[in-house]
Amino acid sequence: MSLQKTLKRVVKLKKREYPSLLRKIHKKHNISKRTLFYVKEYCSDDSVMNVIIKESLNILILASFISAIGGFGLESLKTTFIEILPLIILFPVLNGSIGNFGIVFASKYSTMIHEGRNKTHPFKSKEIKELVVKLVIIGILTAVLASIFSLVFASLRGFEVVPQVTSKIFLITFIDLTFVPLLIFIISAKAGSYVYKKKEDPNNFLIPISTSAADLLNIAALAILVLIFF
Amino acid sequence: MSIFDKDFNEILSGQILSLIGGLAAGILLAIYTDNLLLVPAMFILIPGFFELRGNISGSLSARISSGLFLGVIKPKISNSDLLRGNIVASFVLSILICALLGVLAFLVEYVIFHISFPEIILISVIAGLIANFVTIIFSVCLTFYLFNKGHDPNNIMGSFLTTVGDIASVLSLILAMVIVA
Repeated sequence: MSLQKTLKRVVKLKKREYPSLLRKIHKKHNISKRTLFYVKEYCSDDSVMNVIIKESLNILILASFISAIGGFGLESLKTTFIEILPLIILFPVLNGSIGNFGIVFASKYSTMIHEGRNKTHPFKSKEIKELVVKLVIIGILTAVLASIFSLVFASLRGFEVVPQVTSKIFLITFIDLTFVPLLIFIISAKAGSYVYKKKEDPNNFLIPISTSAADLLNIAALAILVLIFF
Repeated sequence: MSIFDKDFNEILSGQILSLIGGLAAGILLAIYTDNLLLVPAMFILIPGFFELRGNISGSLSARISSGLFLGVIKPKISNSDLLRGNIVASFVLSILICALLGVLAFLVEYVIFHISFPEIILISVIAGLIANFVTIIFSVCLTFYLFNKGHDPNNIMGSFLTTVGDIASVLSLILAMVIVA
């Protein structure tokens, strides 16, 4: 079957048929699962704009509420936060990095579930263990680089970089980029197994769940760490 | 255990790109702290506002990729129904969600901190329009470019969008502040 015919067939698939056929199409035509997911979700004959708005609005509203809860935590610590210039520089990095780790874990774990490569408990699987180790190593590298750059730039802006503050910034970044992603991996693994048992496609749920959890947990962790260290 | 393999390098490359974008956004936030972060409710708005670029432009890019693979979108930017529908839907969603984020920020600030700053709603909507204009154009052009070069854009666009989205978000908030002030 040609690629276009196969993709047109994906559009007409029922939700329950989709996860099992996805693996075959992905392997045969070498198209990412994310692409196949969007082919299924958005390439029907309905009005394009209506389908997109209908499908996206609820999850975006939920994500906005979750972000506002996190933002409220930050607003409460505004005065302390603004005084520590390296933390302001680090904030977008921490938020983005944890979200990225969540997306990488969620999409790879979804693939493992679809391909039947995760028959035991998620964290007993060799592949999952390797993935977690990789992400933790990248988290530590990111923490070191981000801390150095934030401290250097903060000192250029007149912030007094003393050893006590430097060690606190390193520690906050390290804890945030290693322990928070681990929590998100656990949430994703549990949610992924549950969703798949319910015969739904984990791709549809895991990425929004992991990014929302990443946002909220990162801000909560930052707020707690700032309260403890400063 | 093979840790430092192709997978590791791909994740690390994406992470470094995202780190550069995040640091650039953070540096801009630090430079404009007085104009931006001291504004009431700004901290409530910022996390959701940053996340929105990836959520909307990331999905737009993935949908266009699907259309290109399916053959329903021609590999050249044109005024087709599908492409127009995708772009308009992304703009509508961004305006709706930015307005919601602005209202939420205003309400939380007013109810909990007893500070009334309704301008935050206008700042959110204007900044959302500017940031999405930049990231949506960037997403569309880069998705077509990558597809025409033989890549699956879904594997590459995420990190690029995080980087561009972070910088565009901060700059658009600064611009919106100037306009509203």
